[in-house]
Amino acid sequence: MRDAFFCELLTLFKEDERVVFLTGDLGYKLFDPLRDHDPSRVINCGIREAGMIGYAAGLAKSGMLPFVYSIVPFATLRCLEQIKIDLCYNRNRVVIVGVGGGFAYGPNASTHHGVEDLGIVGTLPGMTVWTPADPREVRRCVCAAPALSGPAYLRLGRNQEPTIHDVHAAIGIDKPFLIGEPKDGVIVTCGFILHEVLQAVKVLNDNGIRPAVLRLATLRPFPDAEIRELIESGKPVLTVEEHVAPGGLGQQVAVLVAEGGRGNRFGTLSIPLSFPETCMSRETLMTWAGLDREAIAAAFTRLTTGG
Amino acid sequence: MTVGENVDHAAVLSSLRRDIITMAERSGHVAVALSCVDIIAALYFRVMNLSPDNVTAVDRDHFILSKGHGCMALYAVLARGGFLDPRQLETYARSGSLLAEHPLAGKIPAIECATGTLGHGLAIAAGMAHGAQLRHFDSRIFVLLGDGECDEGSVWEGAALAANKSLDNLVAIVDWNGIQACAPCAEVSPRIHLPTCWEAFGWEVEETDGHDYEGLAKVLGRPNAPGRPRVVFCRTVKGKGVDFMEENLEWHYRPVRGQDRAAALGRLADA
Repeated sequence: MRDAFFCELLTLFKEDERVVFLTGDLGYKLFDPLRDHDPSRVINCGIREAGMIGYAAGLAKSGMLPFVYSIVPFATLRCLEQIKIDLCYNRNRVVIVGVGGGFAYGPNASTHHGVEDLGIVGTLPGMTVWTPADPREVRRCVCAAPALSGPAYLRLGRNQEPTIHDVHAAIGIDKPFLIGEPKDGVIVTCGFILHEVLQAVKVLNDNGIRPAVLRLATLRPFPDAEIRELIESGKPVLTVEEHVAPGGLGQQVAVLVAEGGRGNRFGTLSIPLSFPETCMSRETLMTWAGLDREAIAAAFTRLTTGG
Repeated sequence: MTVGENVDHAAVLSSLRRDIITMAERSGHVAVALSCVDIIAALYFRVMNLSPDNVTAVDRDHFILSKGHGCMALYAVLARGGFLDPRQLETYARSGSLLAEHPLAGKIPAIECATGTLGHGLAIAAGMAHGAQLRHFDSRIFVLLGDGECDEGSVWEGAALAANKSLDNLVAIVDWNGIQACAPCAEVSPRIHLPTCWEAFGWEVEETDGHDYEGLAKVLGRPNAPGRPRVVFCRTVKGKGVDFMEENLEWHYRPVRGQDRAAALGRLADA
């Protein structure tokens, strides 16, 4: 996802002289092609994330289109008030690019995990939140930036996420997209955990259970209407997110399920609200969190069998 | 309307203080506004390329009131300068008004951005200065900070960014009254000498009298040394112009009502 981001940004950077790239001293060598093209629009702000957000707000006020880059916790929580006031309240079009969403930086441990970012940033009025699932969707987010009227947060993984070869990524990021027929219900998910969810669906299909998957590349604005329509059937709904429960996808879908009143059996899978005790790879962390394909398949099976 | 060189400045500044005291019937922070009003008046009336005619242009000069709690001073200046209908001052701090106790975002064209959370304005101003350079504008960016505000770490992030980028179209102004919300600055930060800190961050540093209108116009208006951002430390008196408010911490908070109001307006009339 990271390479896809820089590759697409380079194209936009060459086409649109308003684009400025700011980094909090991260992305070694990755932004060299930008700097080679126009060093005046590449700004290493140093390890000053709060200052970087304010600086980007000022650049936006001057008519530029800044992209601000750092690792998720530093690009979000570290400078949250600047995001709230300088970008959201003052309506400045700045794209915050957080690399390493969820457990992508696994063995780097909790300082580098980004597991509460979507809930926190998603509470801020006027913020667009993008949760692309694969490199192709990342490119679409970058391309959508010039049409924004306010700030956006783009949550990337690292660089290992596979391209998901279905037709849906070609369609767009604005609306959620349904993969498959919701014969036995639906799994709602966002971000690059989609790959794990699709693997779980294969397991379910092998057992004769056929859920659809609803993928959300845009989490803010939240697609209430599309989800309400989908759960109208009263069939089971499971949400899966690489994020803690508070403020996350599951809680938002739960409200819609409750308001819908159709009696859907409902479950959520999210990251536990606790810090991991040991160093773990992303893969191990996903199992620790109950978010691997087996756990996802088991959770949906329980919803369909009433177990 | 601008207030040019042939106007009775003392009368203008006194009328601004009168407006502030009148507004302050409904809020605290009167002493804050009285401390910085001469600086803001000098900027709007004598220094900046900014008038009601070019207020929507992006390539004009810009001012950010980083210490947003001093906004009564800004509102009074904007009304006097023709950027606001003076009758709007009567709505200050009332429900439904566009003049809140900290500036609202995006409501008044001459107000660059919402402030009030301290420590934000300098980095924004620095980014604007950099953006102006990238777009080849002649505009200068001015930002007013409190000395207490310089406690914020984000101020120093902004200071470093501006110096690193050699932003010589950026002028920071410190309202150097020596008193912050709960104590004198020297008590809160006894080992910190602010001008030395700014100098160490690579800024051109100047000091001036923050209540000398002519002196302010001259110092704030002159160009920066090439390649350097500039900070002007303005020696001010918190509560300036109303003797019983001067350097009295209580007037950081206390609305001006009843006898106090009459007394304060009387002091201005006597001056």
